[in-house]
Amino acid sequence: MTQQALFNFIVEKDANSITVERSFNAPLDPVWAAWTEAEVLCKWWAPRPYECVIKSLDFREGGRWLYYMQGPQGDRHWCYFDYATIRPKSYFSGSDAFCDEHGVANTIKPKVTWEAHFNASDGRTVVRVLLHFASAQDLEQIVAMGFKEGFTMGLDQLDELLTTSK
Amino acid sequence: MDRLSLTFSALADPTRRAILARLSSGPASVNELAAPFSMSLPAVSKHLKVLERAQLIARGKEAQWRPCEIKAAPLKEATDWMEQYRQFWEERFDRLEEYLKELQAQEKPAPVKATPKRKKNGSNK
Repeated sequence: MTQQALFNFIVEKDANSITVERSFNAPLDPVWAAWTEAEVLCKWWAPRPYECVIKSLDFREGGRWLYYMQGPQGDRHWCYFDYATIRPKSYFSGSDAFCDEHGVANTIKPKVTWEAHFNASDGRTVVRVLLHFASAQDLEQIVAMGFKEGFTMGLDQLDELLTTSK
Repeated sequence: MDRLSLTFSALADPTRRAILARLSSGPASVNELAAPFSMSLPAVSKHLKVLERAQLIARGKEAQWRPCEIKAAPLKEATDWMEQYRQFWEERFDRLEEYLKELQAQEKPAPVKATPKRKKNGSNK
């Protein structure tokens, strides 16, 4: 059938950045659209059981995307993403933050700088997202958002998650 | 350095991870821990200090035999957020994949002969 999907989640050893990489068996155009057009983004951006509701999306350099993710209990997590650099169908960067419904950033919550790269070949598209956190504490606060609870892992798995510096 | 950073920098070394792996099966002395490695006792002690500072291990008080034991709390904290965040992204991407599959299924018309003209937004699979 189709090729095995690639999924990488690499925590850099300074713990302040994460690379998430995934391949999709789809050409570049629909994948790029899925990341940059509101009507498509809202269909998938929130991981289940959350739903994403987009208030506004201005996809251009200096533009802002404002949305919230709603949990099954009706809890809403407002976020924005400010676009910095856009290279159509190849790359975009910016920073996101948790905020209130007016887009006022919540300073207690982490701000993450992003770079998303899109590479297509043979009808397959690889998306690589580099997430950079201001500090490891910011990463901890991501957990405080409480998406999922509890998980114990052996040292072997931990080893796989961490990049080793030999 | 905050606690999580301390945990990660302590873990960012293969020797220290190997020491932790050994300690996960029970306490051990410095000599026992040093045995599998071709390094001096002081070098192993240095690694143990880093682990101790990160509170990943604790050392016994007996002067002669100060066994090291693993402390799970910081380790669990570190793995917990990583796993949750990883899952968060994986689930998000799974959803995107589902959407792309649906899209391609919709776009794929009843088997007609492919035209050489390339549609701009079409799937060319």
